[in-house]
Amino acid sequence: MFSSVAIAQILRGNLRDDIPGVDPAAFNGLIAHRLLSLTYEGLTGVAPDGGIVPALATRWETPDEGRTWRFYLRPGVKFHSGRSLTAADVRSSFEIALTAKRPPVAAQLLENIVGRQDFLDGRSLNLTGVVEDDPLTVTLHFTEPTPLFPYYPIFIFDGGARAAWGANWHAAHSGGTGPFRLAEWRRGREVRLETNKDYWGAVPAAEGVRLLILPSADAALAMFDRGELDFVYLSEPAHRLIAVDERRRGALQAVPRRQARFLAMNPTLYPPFADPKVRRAVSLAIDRDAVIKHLFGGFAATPRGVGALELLGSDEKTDAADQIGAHRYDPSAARRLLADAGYADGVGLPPLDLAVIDASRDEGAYYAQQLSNELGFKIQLRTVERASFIAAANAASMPFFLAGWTADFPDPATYLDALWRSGSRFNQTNWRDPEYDALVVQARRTGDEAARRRLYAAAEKRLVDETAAVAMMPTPDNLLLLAPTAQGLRITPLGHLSFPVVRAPVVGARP
Amino acid sequence: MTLAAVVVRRLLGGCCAAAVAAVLMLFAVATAPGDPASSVMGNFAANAAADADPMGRLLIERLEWLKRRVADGDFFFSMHYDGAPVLDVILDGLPTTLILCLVAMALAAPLGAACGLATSMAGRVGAAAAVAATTMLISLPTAGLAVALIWLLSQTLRLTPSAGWDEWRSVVAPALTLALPAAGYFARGVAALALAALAADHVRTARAKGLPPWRVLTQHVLWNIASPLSALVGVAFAGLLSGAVLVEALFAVPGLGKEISTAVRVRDYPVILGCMLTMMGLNLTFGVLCDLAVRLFIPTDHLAAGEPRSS
Repeated sequence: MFSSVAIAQILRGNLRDDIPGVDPAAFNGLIAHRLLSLTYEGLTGVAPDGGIVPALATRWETPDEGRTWRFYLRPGVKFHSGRSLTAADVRSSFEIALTAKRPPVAAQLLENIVGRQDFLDGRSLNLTGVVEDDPLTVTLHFTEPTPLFPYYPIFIFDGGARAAWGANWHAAHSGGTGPFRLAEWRRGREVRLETNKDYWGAVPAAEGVRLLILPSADAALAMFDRGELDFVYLSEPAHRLIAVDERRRGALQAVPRRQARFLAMNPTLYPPFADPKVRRAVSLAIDRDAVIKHLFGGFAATPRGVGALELLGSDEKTDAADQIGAHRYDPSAARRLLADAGYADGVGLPPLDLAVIDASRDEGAYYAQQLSNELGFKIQLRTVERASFIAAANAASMPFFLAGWTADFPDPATYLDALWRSGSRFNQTNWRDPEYDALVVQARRTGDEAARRRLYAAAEKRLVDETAAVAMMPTPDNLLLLAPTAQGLRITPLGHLSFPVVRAPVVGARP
Repeated sequence: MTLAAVVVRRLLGGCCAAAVAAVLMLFAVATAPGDPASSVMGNFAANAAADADPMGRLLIERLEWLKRRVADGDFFFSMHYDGAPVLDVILDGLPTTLILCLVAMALAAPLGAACGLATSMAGRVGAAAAVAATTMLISLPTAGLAVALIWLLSQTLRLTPSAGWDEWRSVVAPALTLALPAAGYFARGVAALALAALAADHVRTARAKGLPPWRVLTQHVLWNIASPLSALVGVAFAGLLSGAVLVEALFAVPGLGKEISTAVRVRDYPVILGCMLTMMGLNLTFGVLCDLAVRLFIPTDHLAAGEPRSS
């Protein structure tokens, strides 16, 4: 978006948490990804409304349904160091990601690349699955069809950085190609970014960005009110604060968040959940409109199905999504289903804990109360500290909890394959459905996009409508508070910041 | 006992206390649910299977894991900040916390002492009012006081920033949040000590001689309560350090307290241990300094050395 209004020279915003590091080969976590996305780029980028677009690669093709991918790199792209991007940098980025001491997300996304194990074991000096056809063309070979590879978020960084500055180069240097270069990271305090005037794409209008690490939403809002911040990325507990404040509502930007949020039911740990009638009753007993209005101040939405198809950026998603039923609130039907399952008025249901993290306590309290009042569940809300919650979710050791999974890339597989396929390491509910697995596995291997989407739609319909495996809950929007000096700044559904680009002279920061 | 002996005894005692605390902390870490991988990587934690039923993992397994990390030297590096040395993480925050606590102490001690001395000389009504005021100061919840100061100093009077640590004015509100309850504590202590001192014969003599109240207080009372007052300062400093953990979080001050909050949340065990030992070291050092100050005011050593004490 072109900037035609005055914006601050240095945009000041917040990060809700500090990042563990600025190593593009070893980042983990949402905040680190969103921050590093401003300085580092992948072969493809994500369009604001979903789908992928060219980034460091101008085009890509697969002659064999995803077993081989060829990427044509964008000419003239320079790293922040001034070196030009070549296919060798793609190779080195992948190799360094695979050998990082703490394996990043990228290492897991590269698990099917040819030669991976030989490279890790030291039997090969290079990753044989990466072939540099010429300086601007790279071909990737996989052990099995990987049609989703272009969707995967893997940063490409300066292959000469290590040789020039040592293994810890990223702590003091910026080695990306993005619209901003990393100027400084002061651990626990702030991150400073400078605009990359030589960026291959649209150069941001601001001279730089300063992100203060402010875990407290109250501190961030106080600073915003006083004019010390130009934008504030808001966490969920702040939704209701903002909703009732007319002055702040006017400064708010809200976009639907690409996150699957659901009441996770583990049938292995709580036997009544093995009955689809019980699961469907749980879903029907929740008034999602009330949650959106009263808990999130209107800044939330319940997706169709699990929201998987909404990740796609084309019109095809609408037709397929329309075939999946909407999530209804029908407590009478819920009570009938529960009675049919042999638990009329909740009699016979064992006691149950609903586990939530502290930030979701209010939501959890409402859901627990609804299930207790409407269906007779003997349910206790259990607030679990975040680290413990995540560890327990990873171990699938909680029978009933409020789960949230933010999309890692704009394709339904990020939800459907990760969360409910039997063999997935991220299946937190021990969900087992061979028919569903078959659909998702087939989709994962299907190169034709239209066919893949039909398979995803069928899988999502089975998950939500036919087996009622998932009780989807409203997902709060991504919210950004904007001062007049930050007009044009946008937040995307994946939580990334999109900056206004330069076409007019910038003016000084607001007094 | 000589000065050197006092210092050595205190340091040895402090080291023993630190060792015991470190062992207890390691046990606490070993039994806490959650793990660093899940905290940082979320659902992408590399080895989810190993964390199955975190509460059920045997304590002995966790202690073995800790022992391996110490033996490999890994325990001296942060598990959250991509292998940054623990010392670096601590040094990032230590100067800020020291500044905050010393400024708070510089505000609290004189203010509290002055109020305490004034209370001791006040009449019944004045003393009752002072007791009520100091009780209120001591009882104020830190978070409530912080919010009130942000509203008053930052948003209404616009004298200080709301949060952060960008300029010298950033220290005012956090230091006041720590200092006001500590001042109340000092005032109560000084008032009690001063009342006892005022009842002493030599003080009554001084008053009978017609010395003005301020000279009585400064030359006779204050000097005699300086020794226990120094001990109070040492204890109060420990309170300021522990209070800094919450205050730094409220005001987004990048100090040791904020490092500890983050480390506990993300299970960064080496940093938790390092910060804890650092804070113990600070308390020990400050305590030794206060003990040395106390020694300045104890007359018995001078008498034992044959030197008369002159005031």
